[in-house]
Amino acid sequence: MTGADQAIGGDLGQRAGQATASCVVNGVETVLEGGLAEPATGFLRRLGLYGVRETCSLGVCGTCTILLDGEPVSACILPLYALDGREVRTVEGLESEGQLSTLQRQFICSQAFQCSFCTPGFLLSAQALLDATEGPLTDEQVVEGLQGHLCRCGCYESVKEAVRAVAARRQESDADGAQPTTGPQDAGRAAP
Amino acid sequence: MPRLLRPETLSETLRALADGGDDTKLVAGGTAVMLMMRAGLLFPEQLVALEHVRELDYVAVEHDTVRLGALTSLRELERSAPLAAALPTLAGAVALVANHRVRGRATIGGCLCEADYASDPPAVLASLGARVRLKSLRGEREVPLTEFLVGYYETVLADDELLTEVVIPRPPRAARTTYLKYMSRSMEDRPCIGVAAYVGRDDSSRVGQVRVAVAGATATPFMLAEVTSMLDGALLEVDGCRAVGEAYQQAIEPLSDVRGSAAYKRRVTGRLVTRALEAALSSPRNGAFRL
Repeated sequence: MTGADQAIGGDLGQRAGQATASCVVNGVETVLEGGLAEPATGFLRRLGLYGVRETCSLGVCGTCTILLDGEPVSACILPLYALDGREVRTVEGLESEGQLSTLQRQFICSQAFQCSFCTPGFLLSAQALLDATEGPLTDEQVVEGLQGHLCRCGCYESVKEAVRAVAARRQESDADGAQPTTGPQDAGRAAP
Repeated sequence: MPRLLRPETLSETLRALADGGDDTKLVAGGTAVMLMMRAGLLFPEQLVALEHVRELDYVAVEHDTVRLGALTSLRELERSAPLAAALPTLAGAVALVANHRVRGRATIGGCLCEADYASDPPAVLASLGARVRLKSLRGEREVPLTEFLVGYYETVLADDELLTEVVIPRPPRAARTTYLKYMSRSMEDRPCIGVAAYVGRDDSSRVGQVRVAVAGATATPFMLAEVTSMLDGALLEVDGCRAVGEAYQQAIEPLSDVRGSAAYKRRVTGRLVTRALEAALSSPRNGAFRL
């Protein structure tokens, strides 16, 4: 645990009393104990889930996004007790058996990031959008679904392209079997 | 001893509030309370977390009224087809609040009890003539929203009371409603200025009751009933819209904040009030619009 992780709500939790939350985190039954008002971010990071990244602490920027029963929420303003009895998914839960998901591989092929700090949040909201819809997606649907995710490198267009590419392909074949496509700026590069 | 209570019914909640002191705080989605606690503004001895009180989670569209359970999330309101059909401006305005992660947690009751001055739903609900139902073990009262909100982050809610329901009279079929949200920073921001307009109409070309509420400028939604009431029964034309806009611009005393100076907000208010009334009269559909 880093000093920064201790700083995230730790003091607040001491002041505001103790609570426990039994939840399923990326498929694993987990019991979390601590300050009831402590934001979920610190707890999840202490489990080693460093894809949960706290930046603005205001629910604005999207880097701490997790899926709570499949719906994107900002973990930085989510109290610990709210995880109780719920299913939590972080970006670490997108891959299976060491294999990146189709969406993750498409992000790589579309070069949908530069520094990648915001990427876990984008991936989770995009996954929730894909799970909630069928068939191809319009630009508007993707923009709405990824609302409130800030990328200071400015990779919005490639993110949109990646999500639309996955959505477009899921009609043709089973999503898991689909191969990523290379983006226009990435023509000729082999998929990982 | 600080503690967390998680009631599952309305009566358990009211009991917890009656037994708790003024250091007991209600928390619904937590999007406001968590920010205040993290900012060191709030140190409750006891938190009453409401998310298990399922009986207050509903949208009931009835013949004369629409009733919203206080614990209905903004995301549910935004996705409710019956609400979009009955009150498209409210449904549209709710969809303009923050981002979907916040709307998934934030509730309509929590939004009104937070009483933030820069918030879209209170202004829209005020323009629609909404009332709120408050319950405690002592009894129940229904208060117009405009009387419920009394200052910056201040309401008339007593320590032992819970806001259980928002009651909105359904506008007549010919009535027009609109909400214009102007944001000076990002797309997910609170409003710099928001203007909600309600223009009651019968089938003639004359207008009935007119209500215009401004968000983001003053402690509570700013309404000038003495100005808008002069329009009752009038033929509302472009000149009339402009006159109301000018009256609002003259009378409002906005605060300066990170979204704009007082002078700027005053000017924006005048233009937006005029535009909102023009839109309510000329646009073919009711709704909320981001500027």
